[in-house]
Amino acid sequence: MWFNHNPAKRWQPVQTRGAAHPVNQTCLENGLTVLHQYLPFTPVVTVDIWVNAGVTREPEAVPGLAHVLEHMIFKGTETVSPQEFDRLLECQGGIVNAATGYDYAHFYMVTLADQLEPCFAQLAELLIHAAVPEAEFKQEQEIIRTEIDQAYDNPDWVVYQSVRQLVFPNHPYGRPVLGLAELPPFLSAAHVRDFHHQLYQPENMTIVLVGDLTHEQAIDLVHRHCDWPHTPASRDLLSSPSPLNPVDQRRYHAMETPGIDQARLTIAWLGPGVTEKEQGYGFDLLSVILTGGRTSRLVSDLLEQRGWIYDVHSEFFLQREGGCFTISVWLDPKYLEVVETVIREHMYQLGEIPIPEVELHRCQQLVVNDFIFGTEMVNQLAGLYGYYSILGELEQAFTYPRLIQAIDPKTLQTLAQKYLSPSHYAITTLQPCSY
Amino acid sequence: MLPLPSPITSVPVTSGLLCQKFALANGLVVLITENPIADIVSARIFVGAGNTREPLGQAGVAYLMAATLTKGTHRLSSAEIAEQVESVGASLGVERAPDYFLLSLKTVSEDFLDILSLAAELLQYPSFPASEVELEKKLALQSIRAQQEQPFTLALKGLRHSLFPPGHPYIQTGPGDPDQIAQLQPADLHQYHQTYFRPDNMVISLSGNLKAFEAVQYCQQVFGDWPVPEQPLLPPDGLQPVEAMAASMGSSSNISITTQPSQQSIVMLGHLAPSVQEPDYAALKLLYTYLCSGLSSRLFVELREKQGLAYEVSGFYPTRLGPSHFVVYLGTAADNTAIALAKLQAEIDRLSQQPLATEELETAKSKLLGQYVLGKQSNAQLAHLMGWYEALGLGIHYDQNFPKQIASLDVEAVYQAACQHLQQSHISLVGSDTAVQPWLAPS
Repeated sequence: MWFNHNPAKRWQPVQTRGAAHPVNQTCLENGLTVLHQYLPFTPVVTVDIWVNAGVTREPEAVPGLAHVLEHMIFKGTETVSPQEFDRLLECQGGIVNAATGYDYAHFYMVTLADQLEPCFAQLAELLIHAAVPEAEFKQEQEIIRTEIDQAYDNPDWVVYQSVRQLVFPNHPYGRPVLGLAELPPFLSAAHVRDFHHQLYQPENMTIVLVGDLTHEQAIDLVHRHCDWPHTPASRDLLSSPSPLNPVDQRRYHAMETPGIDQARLTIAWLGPGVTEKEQGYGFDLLSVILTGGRTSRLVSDLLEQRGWIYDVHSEFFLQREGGCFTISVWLDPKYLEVVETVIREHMYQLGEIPIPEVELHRCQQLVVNDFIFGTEMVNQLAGLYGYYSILGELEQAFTYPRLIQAIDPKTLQTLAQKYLSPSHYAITTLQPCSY
Repeated sequence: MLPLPSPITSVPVTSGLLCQKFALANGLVVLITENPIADIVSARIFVGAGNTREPLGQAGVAYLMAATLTKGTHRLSSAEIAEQVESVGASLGVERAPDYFLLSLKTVSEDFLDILSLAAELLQYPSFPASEVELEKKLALQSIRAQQEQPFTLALKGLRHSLFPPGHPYIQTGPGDPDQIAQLQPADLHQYHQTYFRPDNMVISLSGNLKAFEAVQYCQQVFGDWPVPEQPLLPPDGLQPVEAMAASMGSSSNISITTQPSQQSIVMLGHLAPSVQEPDYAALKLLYTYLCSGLSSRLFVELREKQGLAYEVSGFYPTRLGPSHFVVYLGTAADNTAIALAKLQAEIDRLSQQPLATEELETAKSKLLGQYVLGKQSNAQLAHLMGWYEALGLGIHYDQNFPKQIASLDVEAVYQAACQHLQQSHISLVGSDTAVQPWLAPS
C-alpha cells in the first residue's frame, strides 16, 4: 500500500501559528479585558471588539434591539461623523464588519499595521460613545427592513429559525437575531441609547488585537483611545432567562412555500452549554461523524448509497446556556418521512453502539485540522480569542485540539444517549407548493 | 533520479516571502512560496480547461468532470479516495471555473506528499464510474432547479443571457445546460479529460511549510512520468474581444424581467467589460472599487446610507480571459423597485458624464492597493493568486505589474474607460408580480 495509514502518529500536538508568541490577557482597572498576540510575519493587524450584548440581553418587549444597535454603532458620535470611519479605514484597503449573535455582538477591522492607530481610535470612539442620531436611526430602520425581507426570502434561514423556536420556546435563543418579521413599531432611538449605555461598558467587553504590533503598543493604544464617560451607567441587574429544557417529545412544524423546488428538513436537539465545554467538543465530533465528508454516516448512507437526498449538513452551535445541535437535509419532498426515519436510526445507533476507533480517529483528525486551517489568519485568531473570552474562558481556544483528541468512544456514546434522543427532537420541514 | 531543475524566475509576494517558478521536463509548471510560519501546505493545481473548453452541445461537461474526478481512479474506488483524504483530516476539492479547472488541497505538512500523490492519481487516471456519473448528473440537475429559488441567481441569469450571445461559455450561472447534462456519458468525460488534462496545460502552485527543492522533488516524483500527448492543444472558445462580441449581439433586448414571489426585488445593471488582457482592465477594476467596494464606496454611501434603499448594494467585475462583465445590483423593498433602478442607473451614467475628482481617484487607488496587500495573508490565498496568474498566461510577475498599472492610472484614462465601456446598460429585475408590473406592460 503506497499510503501508510497510522493514526497513532497523529497524537502529537500540532504546531499552530498562534503558538509562536503567547496571547497576553490583561484586565484593566475599569474591568476591560485586553487580549493581544504579536505576530510579526504579517503586515496586518486585526482588532476585534467583543461585547456581552447579544439577543439574550435584550428586553423581552424589544426583540431585535441588539442588532439595531450593531447598525447604529456606525452612525457616528459627537466627534466622528457617519461614514468618516469607513472612509478612513477603507481608503487604505482596510476591512470592517460586525455581527450580532445570541450571546454577543462583535465589531472587527483588519488593517495594514502602519495604518492602525487612527483607525483604532475611531473604532473605539464609535463603540464607546455611539450617539445614535435620530435622523440616522429612521433611515437605518428602512435598511434593516430590507435585511429582514432578504432573510425571509431565504428558505434555509426560515427553516432554521423555525426549528430554533421549537427547541427554545419562551427563550431569546428561540427568536431570530434580526427580531421578528417587523421591528417593534414603538422602537425608538432612546431604546437603542439605553441599551448601549447599559451594556457597552468596559467590564462587559473584550478588545482583541492580533498581528504586527507589540504588547506595549497594544496596551498603549487601548489606554490612549478607550475612555468611558466617568458617570457610571445605571445598570439593571440581569434578569436570568428561563432555564432551558430538553425537547421532551417530537415537536413538529410543517411549512409550505411556492417558488422552491427542493424540500428542507431540519432536526434539532438541545445541547450542552459553554460551561460543559468538554461535552461541547464532543458535539463537534458527533457532527463530523454524521456529516463531515463523504465517509461520514449520513452522507454515505443517504446521499451516496440510497440517493434520497441532495445534501446534508450537521452543526453544533455552542451557546452560553445551552447549545443547539442541528441536522439539515435538502431533498426531494417524497423522501421527507423516510429520511427522518433513517436519521432516527442513526441517532439510535450512536447511543447504542460505541464508535469504532478508526472512525473516531478519522473524525478527530478532521476536526483538529479544521481548527488548524481555520486559525491561519490574524482575523481568524482574533475572532477565536474574543469568542471564548466572552462566552467562556480564553484557555478553551488553546486546549481545543488536545481535548478533541482525548475524547473516547464511551464519552461520545454517553453524550448521544444524554442529549440526542431518537424520539424526542424538534423538526421543521419546508415543502414546495404551487399557490 | 533526474537532477532538479533550477528556478526559472522568482518574485517577492508578501512579508519577505518569495514565489519561485520551476518547470519539469514534461512542461508542468511548479510554483512554490516557502512559508514556514504555520505547519500547513496549501496547493492549487490549475488546468487550462473550464467552461471555455467545453465542446459544443456539452455545456456542463466541465462541471460533471469536477464532480466525478474524485469518484474513482484506475485503482481506487470512490470510498477509498474519500477515506484516504478524510483519514488524515486533509481537505481536497475540485471545481471548474469559466477559464480553468482547479484542484485545491490543504494538509498539515507531514501528510502533504501522500495527498499530493493521491491528487496526481486523480488528475491522471480518473475512471468516471458510470454509477457515480449518473448520481452527479442527478445532483447537477437538481442544483440547476434549486437556483430558481435564489433571487440573486435568477437576476444574474437574466442579465448574462442578455449580455452574451447564445451558447457562450460565460453565460452559465450553474452547472450547465440541463438538456445537455442529461445526455453526457462517461465517454464524454474521458474525451474531455484526455484532451486538456496534460502536464503542459497545468500549473501546480504551492504555499506553506515546504522547501522549494522538496516541492520540485515531490512534483517530479508524482507527475514527472506523465507524458505530453502529441496532438496540439486547441485554443479556448468564446474569447474574442469585447467590441466583436458586442457587435455580434446586434439589437437583442437589453432588459430581462423575472417574476418570483419574494419579499424584496433584485435590481441589476450590467455591461460587457474588458478581459484581463485588454488595456482598460485596470481602469475598470478601479471603477469597480470606487463604486462597489466596502462601506465607503459610492453606491453604498449614496444608495444605502443616504437613500436607505437597500441592505445590500454591491457589484462584481470578474477577471476573465475573455470579455467579462461589469455588474452592479441591489436588493430593495418591492415598492422601491423603480426608484432603485433609476438611482442605480444614474450612478452608472454619472461616470461617463463627468470624470472622477482627483481625490476620488486617489482614494480608490489606495483602497484597491491596500486590499491587494490584505488579500495575500493565508497560504491558500498566496497559492491561488500566483497559480492563477500563471494559468491565465499573465505570469507571476503580474503580482507586481497589476499594482503598478493601478498606481499609474490618471483621471482621464479612467474617464475614457468609463465612456467606452459603461454605455447602454443591460437591466435585469427579479421580484413579485406587483413589484415588476410596470416593466411587464405590453409594448
